[in-house]
Amino acid sequence: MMKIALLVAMLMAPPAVAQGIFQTYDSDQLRRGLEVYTDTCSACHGLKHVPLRSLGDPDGPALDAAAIAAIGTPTDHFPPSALPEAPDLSVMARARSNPDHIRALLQGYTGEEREDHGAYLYGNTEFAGGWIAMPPTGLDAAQSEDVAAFLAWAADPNMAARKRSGFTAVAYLLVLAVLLALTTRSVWRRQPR
Amino acid sequence: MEPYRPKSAAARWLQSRLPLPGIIHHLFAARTPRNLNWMWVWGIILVFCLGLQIVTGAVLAFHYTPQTELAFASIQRIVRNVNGGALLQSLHANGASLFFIAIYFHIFRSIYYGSHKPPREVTWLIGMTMYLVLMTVAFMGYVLPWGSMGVGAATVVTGMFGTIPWVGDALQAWVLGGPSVGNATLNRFAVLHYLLPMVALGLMALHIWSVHVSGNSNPDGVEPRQDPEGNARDTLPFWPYFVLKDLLALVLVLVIFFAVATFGPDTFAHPENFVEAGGPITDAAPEWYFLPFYAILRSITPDLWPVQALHWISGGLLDAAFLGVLALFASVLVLMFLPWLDRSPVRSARYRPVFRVAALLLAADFVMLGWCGAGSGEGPWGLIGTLYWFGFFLVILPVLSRRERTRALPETIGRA
Amino acid sequence: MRAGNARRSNIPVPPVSDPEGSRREFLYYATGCAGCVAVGGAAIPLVRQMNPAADTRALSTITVDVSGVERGQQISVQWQGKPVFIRRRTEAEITEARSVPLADLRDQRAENANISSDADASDANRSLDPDGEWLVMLGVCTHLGCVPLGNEAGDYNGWFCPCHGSHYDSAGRIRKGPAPENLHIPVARFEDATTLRIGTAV
Repeated sequence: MMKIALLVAMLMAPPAVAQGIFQTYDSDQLRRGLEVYTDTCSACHGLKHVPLRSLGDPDGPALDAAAIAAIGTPTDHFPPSALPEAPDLSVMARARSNPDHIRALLQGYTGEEREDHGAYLYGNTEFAGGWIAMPPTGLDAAQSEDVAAFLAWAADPNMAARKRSGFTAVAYLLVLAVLLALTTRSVWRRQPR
Repeated sequence: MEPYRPKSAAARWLQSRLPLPGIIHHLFAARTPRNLNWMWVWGIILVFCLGLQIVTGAVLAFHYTPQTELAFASIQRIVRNVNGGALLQSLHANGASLFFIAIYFHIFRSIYYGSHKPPREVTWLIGMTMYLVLMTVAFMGYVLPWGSMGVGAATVVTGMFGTIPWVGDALQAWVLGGPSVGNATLNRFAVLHYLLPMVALGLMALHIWSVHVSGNSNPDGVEPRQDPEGNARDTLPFWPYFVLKDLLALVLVLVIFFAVATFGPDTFAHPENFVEAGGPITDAAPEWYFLPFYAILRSITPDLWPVQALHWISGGLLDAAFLGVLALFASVLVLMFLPWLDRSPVRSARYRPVFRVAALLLAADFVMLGWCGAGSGEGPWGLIGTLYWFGFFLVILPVLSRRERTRALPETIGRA
Repeated sequence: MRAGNARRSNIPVPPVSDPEGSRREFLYYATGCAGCVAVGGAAIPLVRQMNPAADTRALSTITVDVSGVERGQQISVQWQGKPVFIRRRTEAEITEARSVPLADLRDQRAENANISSDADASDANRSLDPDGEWLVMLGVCTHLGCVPLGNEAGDYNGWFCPCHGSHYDSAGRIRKGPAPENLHIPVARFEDATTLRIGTAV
């Protein structure tokens, strides 16, 4: 029973799972994404939960100390949203079930726009309902991908470290499982009949 | 079991003052049916889960702030700043999922093998009470991060109290401490989220105690022989045989658990809970482990004729919302009465061919209801699932108790 | 097979000259140890989370702009929840502090985190710069932790603690009263001519 279930689970696991296990961040891409964020997104959006010092994380954008010191003190965070209606992006990447959401949204504009009770709405295939209040950003495909990667890091900066502890824990537990299985078998074989 | 004789002077000293060494000895020396299969490992996994949640929960509480303005940010601070905080938070959040997976396997094992039947009804009742307590704890824990999904779920669940005729609104305000889910709600939920696990801990001690009074049930459902020779053939001491087997199962489960908690920590989470609460509530879904019961709640719609009939008879007092809430609570509470609904003298489904099919269908029904609860709630499947759920407990079990042609039981465990 | 015999006769196999038995024993010990290590490993994150978090550690250094401090003036800044006195001393204060014979001092050690812990309490070992102009000290009385009053206070033209009457001289050294030690000097250095960095990065 158990073996069949395991086999089915393994067959059903999409390649995305394997990709998810080994995927880490690319510091160069995160630095490019940071630039896009600073130049474009930060005009309206904020990243209030992200401390500036985490930009120096070697698993993240890996900026050097001088570059971080140029933008703020070690205890400063990114500023909050400049516009009240622009959501904070600190954990936005984890707040959408589609991991590709941010990139798809930036590239999802149809070019249509309409006015609704004095508010301008822009056609966007990725946004729920098809109309979004955020005007097109003019970012190209590569920039969208970079800034999406940067926001993914901002939302989950510990991914790489967590996966490393995961590998250690899983590997160790597997060794322990083998030892326990051998011990259990040995003990059960010698049970009194 | 032979009486305990302390071996060391220290044990003798303590035993004569507090019989703790004797209790520990009896726990480990307990004669346990030889034939327990792998479905009997969930108990130890549940003990582990409660320990894991209490320990990780306590350290998260060091850093968490139960205040609506700060709660979300304090979780972000745990994840971003506290040493190892991201791992601890992920272990706690995913620990709740592991807890309920183990609970459902454990409960299903009892239903399938008739573990709840005499003389083990008290064990069953304590277990079900613990289940209710843990559901409350998990629900409150879902609200603490102050994400929009948790707060939405809190609004909906406390709204259930509001559907009760006459007293509903007052009761809902009493639960929430205000007109809506706010700071007062968050504070009391936080306190209860720390307090109720201690109640669960006490219940767990009672649960284990009662198991040791009646002895373990087993997959054949026949009691081990009580004469010394027969008992020695039918049972083995808990240590080392079952301790090792249980630990092996625990470690195997932990391999999967750690893999999920570190490689896919959001697998069982609602993305919307990463949006800080405060905006309009647009969606409210419970955690996955409540989805089957949520589907039962949603299956009671105003267009069903019994609902319309009750509505008309009661002069409008009973509406679909309240009946749905009643169905939800009834679907959980009906489990409490299981030992008196399933009166068949044969315990194990191994020797009850019809019951076996019905019980496996119940498991499938539970999964299907969960799937319905996650979806839009439209279509007949939720209602079909609800009808089978109640039909199983209230019709199938009492009828099978009298009518089922059971297979011959083995004389003893050894002869199975 | 010996194990088979042992099983049938139900007699424990003696461990001596029993390769299978000792292999088994090794397996049991290995499993036990691996289990203990797993439990110990699980305790590590539980212990580590009690240590100061990253945002708290980020507060371990501060930079202070001292361009506005004239000779004879003192500013006080908060560092890790404690006051730090930054005093730019006058020529008279320096001369007075340097003229004190070391033998007159109660605490013979410099109490300066920037230099060796057994350095003597001479004024040169107390001041931040070779000229002795800058004196940077924790404003915490070494008696019971009150904040001493400054600006040439007390009997020795330095600091005076109002709680129990400890007198510190113009180099912050204890001269009279119950306090046992000189005022402590934190890790500090000049980043540039006007920027002082206090604390060590963690």
